[in-house]
Amino acid sequence: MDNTFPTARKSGLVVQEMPDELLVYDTENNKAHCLNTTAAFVWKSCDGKKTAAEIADLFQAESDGRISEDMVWLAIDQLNENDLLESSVKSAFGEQSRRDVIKKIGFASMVALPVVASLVAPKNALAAASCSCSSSAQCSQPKNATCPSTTVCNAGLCTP
Amino acid sequence: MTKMSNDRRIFDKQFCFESYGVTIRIESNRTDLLRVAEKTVRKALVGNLQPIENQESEHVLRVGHSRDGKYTFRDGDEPEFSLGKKLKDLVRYLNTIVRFKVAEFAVDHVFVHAGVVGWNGKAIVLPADSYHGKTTLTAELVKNGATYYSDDFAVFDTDGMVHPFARPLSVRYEHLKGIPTDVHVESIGGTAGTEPLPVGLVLLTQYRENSRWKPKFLSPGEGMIELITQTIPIRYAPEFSIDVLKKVTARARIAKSYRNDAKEFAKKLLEFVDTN
Repeated sequence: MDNTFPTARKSGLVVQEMPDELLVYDTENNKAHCLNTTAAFVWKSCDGKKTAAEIADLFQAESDGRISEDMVWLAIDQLNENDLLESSVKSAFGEQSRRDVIKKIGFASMVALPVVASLVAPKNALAAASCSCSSSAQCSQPKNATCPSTTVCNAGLCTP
Repeated sequence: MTKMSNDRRIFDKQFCFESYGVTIRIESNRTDLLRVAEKTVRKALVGNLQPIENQESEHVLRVGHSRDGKYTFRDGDEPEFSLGKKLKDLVRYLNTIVRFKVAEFAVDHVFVHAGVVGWNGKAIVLPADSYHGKTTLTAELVKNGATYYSDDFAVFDTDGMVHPFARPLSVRYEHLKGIPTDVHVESIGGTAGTEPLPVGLVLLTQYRENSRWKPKFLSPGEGMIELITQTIPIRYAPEFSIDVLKKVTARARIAKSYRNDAKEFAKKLLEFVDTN
């Protein structure tokens, strides 16, 4: 766990640049993430060599805005939570909730707070559609109404 | 052609076809069963298939009938399993498997689980899980004059245009225990689209009692992650899928809201599209 020099994860990700956003699809965890400009900047700057303070300085040097070290940590916290860093990083905010941190820094900031929105992609489509099950109870779920059996899980499939 | 262990069935009847660039061979030990299978896949793929010469197919599905009267199914190298004695169970199962096989492995197309209608030259795409009222809302939009494209998949090409996949609407009636029943679009006074359309609106919605239409507009990135959750080939072809979805979201508005009863909501939605 290296709290000083966070490193952005590179492997197993599909990255798509979008206007003012960055789309990251995690092929290992099947999660899709949308990073706003601030979060994307921090993520791209996490090269394992820069501290949060240095990333904040870099932001100021490369854009019109200014972000505090706390804002960088707010981004790192979310990146960490979503497995977008090479190795886990301990939150710099200790016991404080993210809501409290946002309250503290949000109102003073002219730059958008870093946001990482995430959603889980579906299970393998074919598996989801092919009536797979691990117990008979799963066969009675509405999504399995079209399976050959809605009561029996037979060798991993809802079949009689 | 392979013989099953411990039985004498010979799977020498075959039907090979290509659909959206996916080649599939269906094998059977009985001619009549192969005919049923062929009819089933033609219906499942809304006629979007071309029979091909027997060749090395990417996917092999085997439908069989055993001496104890049970129908069997096998997908590639997976173990064979029994589907019981009712032919309709085999048909239903084959229909689902074939649709999703093609949807997952299609070449140059991305299948997204969604209802789709055309309205004033643009498509309204309604991505949603099963049992979230996709078909109900699609049917109501059609009853209000929209052109039917699909209640199952939004099929996007490499330019992000959506193509028709206009199978009969698959309506679930409570009195039939939720088992889908085919309803032809003409029987509800609609027509099916034939030409690809650009997407005007992606609407993420689901029914909630007493809810009001309060659309929240999403950024293209936020819309993308929502669409990804309904994208069939996202695991198999993530780069290609994301590239195509980017083209869709770059042009379309993406809105999210709960909705009330589909009948009332369909009218409101079309008015909204007209005025926005």
